[in-house]
Amino acid sequence: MFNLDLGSDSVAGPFLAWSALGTRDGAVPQRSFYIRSTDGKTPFDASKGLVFDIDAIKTGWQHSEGIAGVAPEWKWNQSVSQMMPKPGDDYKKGFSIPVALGGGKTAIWEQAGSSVWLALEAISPILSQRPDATSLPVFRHADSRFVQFNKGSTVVPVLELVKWTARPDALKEGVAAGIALEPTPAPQPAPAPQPAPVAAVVLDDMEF
Amino acid sequence: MNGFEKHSIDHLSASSINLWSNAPDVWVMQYLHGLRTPMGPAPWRGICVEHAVVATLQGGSEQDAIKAALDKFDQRFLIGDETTTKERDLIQPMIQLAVEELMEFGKPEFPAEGGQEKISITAKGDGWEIPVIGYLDLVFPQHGVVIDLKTTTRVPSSMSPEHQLQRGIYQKAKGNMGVKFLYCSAKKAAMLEDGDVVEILAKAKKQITRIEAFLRHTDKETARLIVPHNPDSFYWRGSEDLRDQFYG
Repeated sequence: MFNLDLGSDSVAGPFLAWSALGTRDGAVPQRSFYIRSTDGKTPFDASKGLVFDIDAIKTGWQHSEGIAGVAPEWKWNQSVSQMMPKPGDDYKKGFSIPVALGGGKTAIWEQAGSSVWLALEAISPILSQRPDATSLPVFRHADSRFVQFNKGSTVVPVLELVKWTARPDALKEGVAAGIALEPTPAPQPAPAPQPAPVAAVVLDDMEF
Repeated sequence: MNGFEKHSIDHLSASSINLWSNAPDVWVMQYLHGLRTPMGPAPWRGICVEHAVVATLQGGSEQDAIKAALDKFDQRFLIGDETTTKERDLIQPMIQLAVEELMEFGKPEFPAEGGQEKISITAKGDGWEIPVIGYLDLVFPQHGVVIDLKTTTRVPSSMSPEHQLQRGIYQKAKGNMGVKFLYCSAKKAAMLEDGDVVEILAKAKKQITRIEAFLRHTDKETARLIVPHNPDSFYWRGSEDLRDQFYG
């Protein structure tokens, strides 16, 4: 279960992320989720539930220089059940999970740090109780909990299982999603200006 | 009504008595309030190894048993971290070493109805009696020996008092057989048989007497309020949230 297709690293987003302290510009409140896309950061209410594509979870180590525009480097595990040794002191444990946001929209929750890792660990026993090989869990952001470490602290999102559901179309690929794989070629429009690359924001978990 | 009847406790076990002695706060939470601490990766690794060793000794393929053990481990710890991965990596060598050590005993015997053989002895005191039960890992009647498999990262040179109590209970119940504990790490194994059964059970009875008296004089909520609480006990490791919810 949950063996990985390590595939391409170049995912385009949008990205879902957790913010323990919120953003300095006030765009994202503390203890909340937000969506990061080419349009910037938008607060996202995860209390209504998200479908997690648990067949596509990846776990690994993330290294980020914290420089805007420079994507973090990920080293993905071969299997989610096994964590490779930490590649270096400046790596953080993290994961990538495609999620359906509702309304046919999807995002990738790809984030590293102890707050989100603890959130993933907390739902792991629920994932073990998957009722069948195809159902996906719907989790909602129910609460947040403060965690004090020997050194520093963080705030962990508490995810609550709403139900198990069939895979939504938004998380299906190709024909399974009702999309023709070989569409009639359409006239090619002039190349549109490329959007500015998504800033590789450092998704830290506010440990201090 | 004695203390056990008052709290509807119909049996004890070595692990229950040991927990009472070492962490009465955890004991109160588990046995009076029914809140269990989740099993961590190390004991779960032990269970996975034990199942694989039994399957192999019963004539199954060791490779299949190793794969089943790893799958069983992964089923429980789907999202691996450094700790779970470390325990997972021990499964294969522990199975191989344990099988090598136990091969000479042949096939273990199990009850016709399946599962492990249950044993029970009864502790009796003033106005109370309580069965103390256990489940035997490996019974080899043809060799007159019962073997309990303990997987560990460090093979001890002598058995801990907790394991001696477990062995004492098994030995009392299986008086005509030897009871040994096989300690197995990824690299080393040792068969131990420590402790004087009479002495061990006499000490255990003193603890059981205290449990009964404690139960007779408290209701479960009072027990939660007055039992000595050690928040730093290693018994709480991995159950810190439960600890904080229960004891504040």
